[in-house]
Amino acid sequence: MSDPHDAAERVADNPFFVLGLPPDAAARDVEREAQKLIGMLELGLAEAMTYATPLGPRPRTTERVRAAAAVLRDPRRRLVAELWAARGPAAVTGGPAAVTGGSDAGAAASPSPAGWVGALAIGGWGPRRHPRLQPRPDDDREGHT
Amino acid sequence: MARLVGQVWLLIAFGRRHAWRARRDHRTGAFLAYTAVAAVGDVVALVWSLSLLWFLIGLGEWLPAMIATGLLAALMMRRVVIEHVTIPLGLFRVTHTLAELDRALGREPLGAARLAAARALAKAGLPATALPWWQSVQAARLGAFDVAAHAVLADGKDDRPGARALFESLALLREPAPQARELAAEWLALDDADAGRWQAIVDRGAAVARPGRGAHRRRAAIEADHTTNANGPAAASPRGAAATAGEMLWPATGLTFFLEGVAGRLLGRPDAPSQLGMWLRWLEAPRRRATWWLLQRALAAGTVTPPAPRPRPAPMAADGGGPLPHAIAVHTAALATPTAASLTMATTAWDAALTDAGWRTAIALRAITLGARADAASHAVDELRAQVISDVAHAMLAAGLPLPPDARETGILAAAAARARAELLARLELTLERIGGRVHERTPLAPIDEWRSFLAVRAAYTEAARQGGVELERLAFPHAHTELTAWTVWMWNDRGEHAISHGMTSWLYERALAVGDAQAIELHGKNAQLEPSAE
Repeated sequence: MSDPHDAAERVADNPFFVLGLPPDAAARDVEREAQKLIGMLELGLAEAMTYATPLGPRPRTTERVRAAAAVLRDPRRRLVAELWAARGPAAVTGGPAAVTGGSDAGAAASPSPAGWVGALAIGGWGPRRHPRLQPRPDDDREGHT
Repeated sequence: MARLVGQVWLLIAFGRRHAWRARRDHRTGAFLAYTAVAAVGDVVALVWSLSLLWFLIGLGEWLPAMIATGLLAALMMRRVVIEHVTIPLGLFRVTHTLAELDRALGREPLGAARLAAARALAKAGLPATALPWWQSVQAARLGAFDVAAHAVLADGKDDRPGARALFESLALLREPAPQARELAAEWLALDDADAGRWQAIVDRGAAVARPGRGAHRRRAAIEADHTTNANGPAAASPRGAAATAGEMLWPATGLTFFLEGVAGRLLGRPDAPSQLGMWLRWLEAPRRRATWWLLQRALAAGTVTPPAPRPRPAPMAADGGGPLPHAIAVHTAALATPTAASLTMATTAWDAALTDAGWRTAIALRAITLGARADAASHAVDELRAQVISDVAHAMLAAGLPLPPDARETGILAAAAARARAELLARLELTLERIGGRVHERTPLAPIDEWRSFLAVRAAYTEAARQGGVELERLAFPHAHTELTAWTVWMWNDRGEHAISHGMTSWLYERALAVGDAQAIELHGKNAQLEPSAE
């Protein structure tokens, strides 16, 4: 089972987003773009450093570019990548409440009143707070006297 | 004259003790009245004691004055000394001695002295040198007071989740331990207040019916109280109904009673105390300077206008290009912050996209264009579907969302729910197998660690049952019944840990009733009737 991190990576690391190409790009365009981006990255050009994804811009590296090109060389894997890239890299706008129309119970309920911060300490609970030792003026190590 | 003085003294002492005990039976005006009576008794006792000392000192009798001071502190004022002197100063040995005396003279339950000593020990900063002494005063068997004492020590180590789990677990133990439950209720109320969980405070203190004089000290009443609690949340109990859930489990202290009033007023409940009631609760609670602003907030809560409804976020921009781009957009948004509604919307969008005939034809044509194998298109769609199901299932589990019931449906949501349910069951089975293996090998832990281990299993089971619903619980219960019954039998028969074994059995009985397992109901029902022996 994929965890949310995997799911986000799958969306953000889509080879087409990494290479900045549309899903119907030809194979030779894929190779040419990959070489161009690797060259730009090696020269440290700022415009090649990031790429757009639905989850916001991500840093582009030569490893990611090579991995993306490798995926797109395999027709089967490319087909799956094309499906996930169908929407394009435009960022998803609107929060989950917007998606749901704000109908969730949690979203609809009035917010709970704020808590009484530090209540346990005020009630005499919690760990005993030991006084902190002062560091020597010429010593950065706290607690050493 | 001396006889008269002695009789009045005994009367005051009896009255104070009765008043402090009687207030545990109430969450009404009687709580305030009994607290006031007890406080007046304390003041009279203090004035009397000081007068005697002043008289002796005036006569120049310093030695008798010093002896009288010690005797009065030990006999008349010991609880005041314990609460206001020895515990705050961290004098754990003195606290234990005085509390033992209190137990002997006041017929208090066994274990109360260890709880008081634990509080002093926590105040002393849990010095390592005190460990041998602490071990030496431990009882042979674990009971409710010891569980509370370990919760106090956990709190002293800043282990709040650990302390909370142990304090809450007192609800599973039948041993009459009003001091421990009172202390637990105060700690839980403070922790909830800190986190803004005002509703939890109200729920815990919802029972207002008088359970009967001294009921919190009777096992049978606690048993009945627990059964009432098990059959439904205390919050659902109507005011004045026969239900007394929570009353014996969580008697109130002055601070708890005040916080319950604050919670009621902040939440705008109809049964919240009046302004006068709030003032009285505040006056009877300790730490009035620190709680002053909370009182002001509670008093103002009755006059504030309800907050304006939050503006709804702007709707997500429509995605052109057909069902697949829309499904991906909704999916991505739902995974960012999953809710039941957003995931339902995402899975509905996926169902529409994956069954769209025109789109599937386009995929097949695209596969041919790319020079892929003939079955590549269907494989790609299957892989996409599997990834979506996995994403949604994981999002449901990570967000702790209740899983939709298994309705034998074929959509993405049903498949994801089935996947999540299987994952929940697998995790639970693993936990139960680990416990079962340890019990089978007879590898003992310290009693408090056995109890913590049980609480962890119970928490995992409860969470799985909450998410998966009764269907999942029916699948999980037989395994839990097998492994945990062996554990309870081992704890009772071989190790003599009756209190915690009984707590486990009671919980198993409750779950057997919930899933309707007749065999387990009969077994645990019989076992739950066994009386745990005292330490």
